[in-house]
Amino acid sequence: MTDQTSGSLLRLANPAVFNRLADRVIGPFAVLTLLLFAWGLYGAFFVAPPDYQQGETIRIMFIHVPAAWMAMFVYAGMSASALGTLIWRHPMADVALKCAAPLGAGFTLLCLVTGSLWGKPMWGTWWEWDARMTSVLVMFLIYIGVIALQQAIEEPNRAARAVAILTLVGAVNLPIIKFSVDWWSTLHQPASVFRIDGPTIHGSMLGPLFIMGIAFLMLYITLLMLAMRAEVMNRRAERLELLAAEAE
Amino acid sequence: MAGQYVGFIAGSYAAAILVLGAMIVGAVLSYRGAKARLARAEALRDAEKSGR
Amino acid sequence: MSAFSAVLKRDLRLARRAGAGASLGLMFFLVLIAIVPFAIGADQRLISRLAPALLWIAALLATLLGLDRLFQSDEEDGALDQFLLSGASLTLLVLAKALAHWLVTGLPLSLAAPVLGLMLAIEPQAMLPLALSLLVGTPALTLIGLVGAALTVSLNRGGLLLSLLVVPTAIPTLIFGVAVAKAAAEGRDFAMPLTVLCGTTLFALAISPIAAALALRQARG
Repeated sequence: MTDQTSGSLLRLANPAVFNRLADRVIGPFAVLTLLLFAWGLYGAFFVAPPDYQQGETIRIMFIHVPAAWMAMFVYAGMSASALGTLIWRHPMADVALKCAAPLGAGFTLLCLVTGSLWGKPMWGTWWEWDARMTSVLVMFLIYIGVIALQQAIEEPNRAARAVAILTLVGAVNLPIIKFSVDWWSTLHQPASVFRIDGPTIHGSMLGPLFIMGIAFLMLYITLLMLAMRAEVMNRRAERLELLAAEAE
Repeated sequence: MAGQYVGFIAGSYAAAILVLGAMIVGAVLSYRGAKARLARAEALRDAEKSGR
Repeated sequence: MSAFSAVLKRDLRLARRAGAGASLGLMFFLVLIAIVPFAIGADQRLISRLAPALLWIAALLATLLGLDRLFQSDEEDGALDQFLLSGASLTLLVLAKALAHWLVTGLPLSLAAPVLGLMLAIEPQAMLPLALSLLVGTPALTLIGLVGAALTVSLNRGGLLLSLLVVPTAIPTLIFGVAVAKAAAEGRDFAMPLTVLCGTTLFALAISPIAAALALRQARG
């Protein structure tokens, strides 16, 4: 990390600086998200051709795949925040981790639901214990664990550090779980099952898929900013309420 | 070909609207709630200050 | 090292006093196995096929059972503060507690598994590999559970939450543990899954005590 980026990250540790930045960018980001979604959806429905093998159901991919990307991306970001909490005690890192977890769980849930809706016409069942779906399900459970631990511990500092440790333990274990689930599924996979990653992704699908991915990313960043802004205000309000209670 | 899968495609996009919509509404509501709570707390503090 | 053996002896003594610690876990294991035919029917062939999976799931549940009290009782009676004040390595002390926990849960389960395997009509040639897989794999379950126990130490009703945190992380152990027994039952070579199972245990041994010690220290502020 260069001095400059670490310097600006350090400046963000001041909630007032974060607030100013967030207030300035949330509006434009929301508009940008909306435009990207409009562009991406237009591409998904009118530009991308139906797949020669999967037909029109390929339209589901434009939600399913970006949601899967976000499920992983959000967890990676949470792990970075966890390091920030534990090593540098960066006060905003803990806020970011807390606010990112429900959003990540949402994307993971969406990935599971659309995967199931795609699996029914393609595989003939709502749920196939295929390696990818199973890994995403485990990831969803880990998200739920992080959120549940966060809510269970009342003291904010203690909760922040416990959640950070759990997040890192999950991050270390996710590749191992992924590997073992892949290995396990090669034992059980019936050969006739159609693979969702498919033999080819046609070039004209990649463009809209990419735009949908960026749209999901922008939506995430906007919502994260909004949620962090709310969390900062909540903490300040909590302090003021505490002071008022002590003064009485 | 297209007709028989319309339900699944519509279902997927409905799920997306539901899940992403819930995330958006949740974020906006919590933002508003936090803003109102902070305003209340600040007003209370200011009232106490001027009262003393 | 003396702190290590002191904690180990103390925990084993506590387990013995609390109503025959080792045998209680074993009885839970037996009860779980005993209800299996009622749930899936008395079809000998079906039970035989499911036996490795059932024994492994029962081992996982039996391991989870006492975990939520692992550090909580120490926190309540002040022993945890004593540890922290004593200046001894917290990681080593956590490891001693894990060893004590495994000696009263994982080890007896592994030794009893062949007998219970008989009741579940497991293939004779799979009996020893199954016991071996439990012997090698249950330490990983205890070690993984250790982190969950440390994270939920300050919670009054942490048991359910603990299971939610621990079980996903235990998936690799479960996969490779069952794979050993299944391969043996089908007469295939089980060296590869057994090696990987050893690997998951060693990995848990390297990571978990450090993570658990960190979590305990954070929990005390």
